[in-house]
Amino acid sequence: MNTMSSRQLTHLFHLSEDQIDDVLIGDLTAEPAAHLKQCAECQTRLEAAKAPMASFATVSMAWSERQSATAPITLAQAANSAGQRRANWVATVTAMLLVAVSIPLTMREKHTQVVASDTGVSTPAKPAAVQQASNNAEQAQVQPVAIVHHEHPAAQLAQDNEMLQAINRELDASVQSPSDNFGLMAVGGTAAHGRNAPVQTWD
Amino acid sequence: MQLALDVTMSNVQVVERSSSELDDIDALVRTYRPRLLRFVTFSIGDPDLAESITQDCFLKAYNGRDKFRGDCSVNTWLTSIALNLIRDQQRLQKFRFWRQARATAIDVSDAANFLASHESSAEARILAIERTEQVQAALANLSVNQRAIFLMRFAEDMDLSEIAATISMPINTVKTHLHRALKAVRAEVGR
Repeated sequence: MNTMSSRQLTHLFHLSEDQIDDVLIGDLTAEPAAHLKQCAECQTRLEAAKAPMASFATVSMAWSERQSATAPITLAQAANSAGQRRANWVATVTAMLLVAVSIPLTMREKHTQVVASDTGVSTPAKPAAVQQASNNAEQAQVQPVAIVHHEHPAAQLAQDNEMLQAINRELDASVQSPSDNFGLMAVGGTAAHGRNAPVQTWD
Repeated sequence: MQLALDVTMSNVQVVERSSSELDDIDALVRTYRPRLLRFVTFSIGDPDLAESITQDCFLKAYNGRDKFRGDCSVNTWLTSIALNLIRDQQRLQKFRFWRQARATAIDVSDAANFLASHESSAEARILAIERTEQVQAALANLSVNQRAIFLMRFAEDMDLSEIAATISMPINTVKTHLHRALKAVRAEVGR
């Protein structure tokens, strides 16, 4: 007979308070929304319900803008100083760590060099990570010593041998041996004992 | 296919724009400070503390700008940072906030002078101030979450899904909080 659809029923009844709240919240279903479009009374009720929140949003924003304008904050400086503080802190910690690692390594290196030079034992190779970590400190403190004693050892030996032979030749020419007075002859036919014997070299 | 590519490209552009927006802290503050200050101030009810929290919020956002993924607006991201700072402050203050802060409550009556006079009559401005004070009074009686959600909806104009993401709550919980907050506010205004 005269059965009315739910859509037609919806149009007959105004929105409830909860439905008005749903509109304000942004959660209105389709049918009340359809009624709202056509019902001037419900639209007026909705505007009245919206008004306090709209006023609050406007006035509070005006207040906040005023606050922001009258009390500007220097955030850029704060951010920069915070960044600077962080960078300084990182640099300090890195420097301290570097010093803390390099000092014991340097001392150990020097100790090892002394022992090695005394005993003739070569310094054991350091692990790669340790070598890398102590590299800077060693460049400043250890390397000058290393250059004198260990760089080009073959050349150093050859130079020393040459110097010893030169001294030997000079002695041969200028200094008379006491054995010369006795006319002693070496077994090999030389004039003095060991005079022309080859200088023992360091190999 | 082309449409999907266009959407992806526009997302990339949004992320890039937002990221560059975050790199300029002065512009960031200029753009978002009033909104953020309002949210924090009316969340905690203490203008002095709100200033401090807002400043912390910008510093935190600027220092953590690399973490911004661009899946929400900068305003939403800033609001979520502010919300966390407010929660931290609440833990520190042992929930003494709003009630104690009433002594130094926000005086919005002066704000009538800041409203653009050409937009409304003197009577309308006075009415707006009166309504604002009523809403403000109602806010004081809301729970912390209700207040934050109410502000996000009616001051920040965020939709339900945005609010749910910002406050890390299910959307139905957000609706429940909003309904209760609205009832309280409308009851206060209707007195």
